[in-house]
Amino acid sequence: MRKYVRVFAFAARDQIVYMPAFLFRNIFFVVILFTFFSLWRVIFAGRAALSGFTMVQLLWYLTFTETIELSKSRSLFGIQEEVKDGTVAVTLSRPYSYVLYHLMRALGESYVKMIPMLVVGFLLATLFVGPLPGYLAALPCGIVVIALGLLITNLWLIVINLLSFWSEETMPYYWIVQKLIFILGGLFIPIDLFPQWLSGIARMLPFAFSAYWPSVTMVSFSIETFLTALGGAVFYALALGGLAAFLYGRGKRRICAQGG
Amino acid sequence: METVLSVSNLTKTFRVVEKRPGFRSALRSLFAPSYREVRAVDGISFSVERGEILAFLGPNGAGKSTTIKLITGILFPTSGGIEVFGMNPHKKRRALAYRIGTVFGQKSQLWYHLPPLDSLRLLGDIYDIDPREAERRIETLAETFEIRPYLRTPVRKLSLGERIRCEIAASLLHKPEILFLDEPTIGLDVIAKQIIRDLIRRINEEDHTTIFLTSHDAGDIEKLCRRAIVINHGKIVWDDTIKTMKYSFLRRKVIDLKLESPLDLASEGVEILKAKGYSAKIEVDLSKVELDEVIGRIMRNNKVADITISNPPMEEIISMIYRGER
Repeated sequence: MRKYVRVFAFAARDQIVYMPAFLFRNIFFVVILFTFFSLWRVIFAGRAALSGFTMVQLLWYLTFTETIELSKSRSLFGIQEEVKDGTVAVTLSRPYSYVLYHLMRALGESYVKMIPMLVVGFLLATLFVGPLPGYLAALPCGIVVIALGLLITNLWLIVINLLSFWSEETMPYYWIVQKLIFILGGLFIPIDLFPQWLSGIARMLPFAFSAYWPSVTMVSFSIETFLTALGGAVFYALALGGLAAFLYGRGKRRICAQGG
Repeated sequence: METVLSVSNLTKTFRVVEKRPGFRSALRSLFAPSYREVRAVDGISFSVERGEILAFLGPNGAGKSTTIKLITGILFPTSGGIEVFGMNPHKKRRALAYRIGTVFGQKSQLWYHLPPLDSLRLLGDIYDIDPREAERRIETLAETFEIRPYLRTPVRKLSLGERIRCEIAASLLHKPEILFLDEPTIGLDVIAKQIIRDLIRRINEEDHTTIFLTSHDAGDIEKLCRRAIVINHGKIVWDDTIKTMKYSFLRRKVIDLKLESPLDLASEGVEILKAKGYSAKIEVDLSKVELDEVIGRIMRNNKVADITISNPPMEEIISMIYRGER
């Protein structure tokens, strides 16, 4: 296990090699939040709440969903590239689990990206809509489910990129899953605002555990919400992890690393 | 001698999608794609003894890299058998990884933004080497490969020669018994090539590491290897010592001349490769004419200031094998 911890640590270090670039990335996050804040102010237009969300809760909710979305690993897209260009020959010739190696690398990257975004999100949301009631009480449990949300998002990326053993191009699959997380996962709009039949289904789908459940745990914390978020996240993380292991097991036989 | 690697009747076939030009063809291929079978490796058999330096040669697309990937367990064979230290590489890929090292000259195993020292330490962990022991080995490798000055420089700032030295050092950290080097000197200048060759020879002599080398550089083969396997279109076309290779293909001699007047020579079996002013380079086909006859004729017809007789370069011998000439 030591090797995977080291891979995690190295990926984290790799992110902060260029500190200015690392911090500059957060500017995009600020722009997105500013746009959302302006948009939702108009939508609320003096209303006290929308489907149980106050404006403060909703805008804080969006800072958490966007933090997860923008912290996801970019390095996982390298799986497709290395299968295509044959670099997979280098990564496969090491004594480790290929899936676990990439997962730990992705998490090292993601969690380091997540920290400044949580700070920037906190400052920006406080500045625009004021503090989130119960923020500190929700934080310890919220961080756990946010971390799990990122784990699920990264597992999706691994699963999609492992499809490159079968398919030349996996980006279309990524776009489909990304849009499902955007909509059914509640990344742009909390699921609670959907028609009841749809929100009931969406709450149970894995996409909701990437964005909705971690964020809702932070903005309207209760032990019940937390346990639902935690249970679902663990279940889907295991399921997606199992799927990734299965795909790798089948896919490695199909590697077509022809030529130098 | 102990056999560390044996391959028997190994075949690897790839199915490649055939795409025809034009919109209609592209549309048709969506519903009924057509495939072409490429037999990258075609029933090859050979074995390698412990401590050997083996050159595995072939033109582009001959099946060299595919063979290495099959032997290291990265690719699954279509048919045939492979045994490395008595293990099947596809079933025991991870166990085998502890005993073999790989350097793919065109692919890096070092983290691009971090210094090589970090990658070496990470590899130490990946190979489950005790951290103190890993530090000791890094020290030794830094000494041997003379990489200490840039061990703390980010990889992206290293020259190609420096990076390749670090790559080979990284692949030796876990003391592999076989090192697979896939074009390790590609793109290097003459001095860097020489350094890499010296290092390869040294690890073979000092640690008895078996070296499996693919290269397009005749110098690598001539200066390092005792035996060569030549593969073309997936089949082995030559498997013998370098000495025999040279002997078998040396039907030609190259003569460099410095004269005191322009060259005057016309003879069957003699080809003038270059003649400029008072210097000339000729090639003698020994199957058509005796060497002493040609030299005698040169001496009789010309005033010779200097004469050098040499064998055709290794590169030419290899290309003759590729072409199937004998």
